[in-house]
Amino acid sequence: MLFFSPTFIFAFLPIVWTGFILISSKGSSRASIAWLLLCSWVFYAWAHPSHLLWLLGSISANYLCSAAIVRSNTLKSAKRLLVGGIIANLLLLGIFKYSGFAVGSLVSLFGLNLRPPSFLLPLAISFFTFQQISYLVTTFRNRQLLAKPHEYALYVSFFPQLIAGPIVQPGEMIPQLQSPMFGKVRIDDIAIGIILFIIGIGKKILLADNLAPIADSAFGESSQGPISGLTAWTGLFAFSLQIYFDFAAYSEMALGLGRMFGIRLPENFASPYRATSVIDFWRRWHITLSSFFKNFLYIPIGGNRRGRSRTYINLLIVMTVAGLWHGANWTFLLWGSAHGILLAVNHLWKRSKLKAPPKIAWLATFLAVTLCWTLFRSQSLAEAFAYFSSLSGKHGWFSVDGGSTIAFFKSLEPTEIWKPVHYAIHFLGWYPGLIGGIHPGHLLFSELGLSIALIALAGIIVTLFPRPLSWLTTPANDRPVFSKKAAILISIIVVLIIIQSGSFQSSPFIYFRF
Amino acid sequence: MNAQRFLIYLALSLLSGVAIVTVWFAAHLGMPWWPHHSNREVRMAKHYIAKSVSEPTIWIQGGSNAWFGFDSELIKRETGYNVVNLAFNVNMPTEFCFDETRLFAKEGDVVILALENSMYFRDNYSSYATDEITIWAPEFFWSLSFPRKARFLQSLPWQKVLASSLARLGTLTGHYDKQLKPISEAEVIENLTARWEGRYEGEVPAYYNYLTMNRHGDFIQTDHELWRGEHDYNLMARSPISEMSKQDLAEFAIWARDNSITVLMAWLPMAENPALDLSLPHAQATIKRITDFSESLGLEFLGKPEEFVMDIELFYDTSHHTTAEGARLRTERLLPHLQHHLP
Repeated sequence: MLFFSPTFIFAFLPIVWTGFILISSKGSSRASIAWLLLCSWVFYAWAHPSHLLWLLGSISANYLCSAAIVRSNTLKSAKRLLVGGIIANLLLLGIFKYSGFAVGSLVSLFGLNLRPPSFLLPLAISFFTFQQISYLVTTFRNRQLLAKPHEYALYVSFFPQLIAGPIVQPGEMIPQLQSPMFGKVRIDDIAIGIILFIIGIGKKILLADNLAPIADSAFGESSQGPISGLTAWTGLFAFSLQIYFDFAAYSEMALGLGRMFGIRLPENFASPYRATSVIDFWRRWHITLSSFFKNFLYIPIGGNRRGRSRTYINLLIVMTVAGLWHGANWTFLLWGSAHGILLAVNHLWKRSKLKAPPKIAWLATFLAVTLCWTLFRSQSLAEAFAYFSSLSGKHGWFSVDGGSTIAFFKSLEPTEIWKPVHYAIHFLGWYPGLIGGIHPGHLLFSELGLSIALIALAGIIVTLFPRPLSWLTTPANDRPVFSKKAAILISIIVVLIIIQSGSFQSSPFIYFRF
Repeated sequence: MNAQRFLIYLALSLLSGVAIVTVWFAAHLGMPWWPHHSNREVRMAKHYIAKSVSEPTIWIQGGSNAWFGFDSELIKRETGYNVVNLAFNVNMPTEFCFDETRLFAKEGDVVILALENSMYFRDNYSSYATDEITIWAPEFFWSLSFPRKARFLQSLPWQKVLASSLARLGTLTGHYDKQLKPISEAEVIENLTARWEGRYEGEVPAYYNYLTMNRHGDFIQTDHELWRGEHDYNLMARSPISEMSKQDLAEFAIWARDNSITVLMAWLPMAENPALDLSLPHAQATIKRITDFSESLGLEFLGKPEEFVMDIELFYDTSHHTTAEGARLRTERLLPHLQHHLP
């Protein structure tokens, strides 16, 4: 069930929320948690009911493991249980997510006669596995039971964050479930929750889903043959913005939904495309995953405590694993490694004490991150390299058949969906006439013209607009700041969604795959 | 501002936003400009023909297979009934087709429903139809139930609303009258009668135009590029009869029975081509589904679909449009069944 589907907005959410408020008003937090738990499992099982068995099995096994850690008499036995628990979690993830890739790679590398296994990946397995690993580690560190079974189950299953994060640390959520304030939802939280949810839907439907066809078309064409540099760059910028809006949209909807139930989830994005270095970027992008890798991989393998070269190697290891976490493919592995190298270079640059002007630093960071998305978006390494080749302009900047630039612009035609607007302006005689032999309407309403306009608009939003939560609350004390401006903005978003609802093609969130 | 006031303010701004969109939508309603002129004029011409006949009458309704594919003069000659071809375009909703028939059919009349197969399976409004209807038949939109209105609006691309709103804006600046203003209903009728009487001196377009119709409303001019492709006429898929079609046809059948109007179903003409094999189980199952559905409403088909599979040379610019000769042959094959059913 998608957060922006009518079933979710008009049926599931109102039922869950009303039920929660009614049950909470009776004063039983155990019943409120049970209700949210039941609804979260319904939400999870909606598309693939059989997947629920994996989720329930994983929750039960991890909770028993955490209880055993607490009960163990010695540190050594507790550690053994922790390591066993982590390995079991990673093994499950590995079998489902990486066995096909591993066997496929062996087959192609050594020509073995093996058939790669194929499994239907349980939804959100990467997210709930990591969340439970963090719970096991935290339990081990504290050596005390952090949550009762129903609290733990909700910590893992809470529907706003279950499918694609944020990856919540136990300390960020369990105390909220145990607080006497749980279930007493304040109107402030409801209002902020609604705003965040609507901003999230707007980002997804109005921006990400409109950017998607531009990227899909460029990458799709490139997989069939060379494309022009202009098409390649347009497609890449579109994807760079699409993945941000898509994932940030989900995260903001999750935050908003959490608030509607009085639960504050951690932020996942802090305006990442305003970063002025790759180090800065990773502090702002998918923050909860970065924190997970920092706390549970980078620091345990030595972090920056074992000298400079070891720090760079550690960064490379962590980022490669982070890349692989996204999917079992060489493209993700290389994407992660590329970011590991960029982080190492960034650290070296920092040590050199050289300073780039902020705008240059921002541009270099944005371009480096965007170029790396080529690896992330391509289906295979061969496709990625072919795309890089097109980005270099090797096959021509405007057209691949060697035609002139002016001929290219003259050949542009309005897209089918915008033709009525173009014709209306044309027949009303409102166009100024040809500009250098080019029809302004053909240029403006062509796929290229519309793509550039949308990319520019999305670019302005990511670079100039503040992140929603910082705009809606005061950073010092998290007090809400409600303004007329916010109400008008939300109304505009809702109206635009209504207007576009007929013609848009929605797609599932990109991160649902992971 | 506290949260309560904020939520009130939000609700008010939302209402204002919805009001603005409603005004915008209303501004585009009934605002014809160039792409809509052709259909608007065809409908005016068909209504003119429909109003001028006396009872008893056979009304032909359906998609363009029916507009192109009947020889109404032949039916008139053989049955003695007046014949009016109200059929129009496959994209038009079945509900719209039935509403058009309800406007004219009276007690003792006969309706031949020659729906394209896709019309039985369709569960939405096409964006082509929603655009056309909001421009020249807005009353149809207003007549829809609330859920149908919502579904209708979902199929209306906002870019088309924007285009027509721009045309509305053009009426204020004077540009619309200069470049886009359609001809009046009186001019349509005058041109049409002039054309029938051989007095019309203007250019006659070859395609979907009121000037290409005979006195019964049949399409008669066939000098367009010929279609020679492949088509399975939507018989090979396992499509169920849609809820929309079920409801619309059931309502129409009840209305016809209450008004003593006979409704007869006709199969569409199909071109022999490699993609069409009516003997295949899928095709037979689909035909049975359509037939069973019609019979459940007390509506009988005239003949079997196999009788209306014809040589591809008898087809005009698409798989569903017969030439004049194709229309004559289809009508000839239909007539024995029709005469058997006529009161």
